[in-house]
Amino acid sequence: MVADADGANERVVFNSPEPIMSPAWSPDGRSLAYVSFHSGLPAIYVQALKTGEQVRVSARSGINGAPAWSPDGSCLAVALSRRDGNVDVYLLSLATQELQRLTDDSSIDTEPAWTPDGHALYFTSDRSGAPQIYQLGLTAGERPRRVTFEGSYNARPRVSPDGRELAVVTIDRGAYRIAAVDVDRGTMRILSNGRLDESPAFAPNGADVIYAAREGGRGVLAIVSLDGRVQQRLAASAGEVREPAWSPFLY
Amino acid sequence: MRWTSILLIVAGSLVLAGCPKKPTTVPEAQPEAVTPQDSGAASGLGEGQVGQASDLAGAGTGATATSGPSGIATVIYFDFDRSEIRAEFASIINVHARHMAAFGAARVRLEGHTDERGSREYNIALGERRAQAVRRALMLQGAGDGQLTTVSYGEERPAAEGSEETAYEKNRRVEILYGR
Repeated sequence: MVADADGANERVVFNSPEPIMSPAWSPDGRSLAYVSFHSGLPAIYVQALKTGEQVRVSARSGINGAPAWSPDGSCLAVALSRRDGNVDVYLLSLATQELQRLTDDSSIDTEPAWTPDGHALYFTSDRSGAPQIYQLGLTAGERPRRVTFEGSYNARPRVSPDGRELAVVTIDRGAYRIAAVDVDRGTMRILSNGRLDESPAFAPNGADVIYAAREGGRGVLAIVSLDGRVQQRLAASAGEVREPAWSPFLY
Repeated sequence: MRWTSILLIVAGSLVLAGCPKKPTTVPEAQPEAVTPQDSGAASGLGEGQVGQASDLAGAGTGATATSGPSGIATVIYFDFDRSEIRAEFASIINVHARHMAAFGAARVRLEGHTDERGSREYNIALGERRAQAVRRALMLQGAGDGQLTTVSYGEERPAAEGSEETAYEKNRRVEILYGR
């Protein structure tokens, strides 16, 4: 569903008793890409918000997941497993449906996130034995380069609007927390203080990170400033809330 | 920007509605999820024929292509962030594999799941890797590739609610579901 940043004006975009996950805004703010299991198997859909028209863009054998729009809106980076179950990152052209494999590793490669200039992707891979964040330049011949080295678990990168920081899920003293990674320095600092924090997303202003937390057995949303000083719980809506994604627009 | 930015949320209450407790309570698969071989094989074999096949194969009383071997566990459990099959489950997988080899019409859907910790898409991948590990083990023991399909729900469909290890260990699993 879509709502104002204060939780008001909730409106349902699509609903199903089967899981729906990984919502991603198109750069122009007009469409959402998401994963839905409503057909019985996972598939990636793009839905225009104004008309409600839903287009299935990937329903291949195995996983169809983690859609991420390229900054120009022309393609989605996605995670597919195909028949062999080997999860890798692919580029899917929305105009031609053409598929290009970006990673080819027997480990899990998933959760692609674009740099703002569209020249590279970050993604989660457990090729080192545990999930860590890697960067892959899209120029021919470039190999994935590991960017996180602190901690035994770093996953689900999101890139700051200026491209200099990542928000990730990390394990901090046994708890799942949100951390900011300075891409150039390779340093990491813990931003949140929950036990099951996940799904970080940058606000368009680049100063705040919204994320999902559990509170009293319930999913809630929280915001933390990138300097870690300001923590705020969002007003609880009915039911459980997870996987926030901030629209690209500041009106 | 106070009231003006829009954010998107996915309401989790939707997921809780269809939470399966055991294979028989899983909601019916949608038509799209059923391959042509599934329906063809299922309709081509009457109950009596299945029973005969069962007797011939000696696969146990009451066993059919659509029900699986009777009295055999249908859930394989995993360690945290692992997809290796623990030794204690090898014999269970072998019984299923022999059953599927005996009943060529048997169709099995392997559903991979994880506990709630960590990121959701990584967990989808981890659940798929678990389902694939069970698929490979079944095929090594005689099940046919065409008899098996896999799907991963990651952490989206827990078998047990709660945020403690007793729930987590029940949720890190692959369910072996016949007739799907």
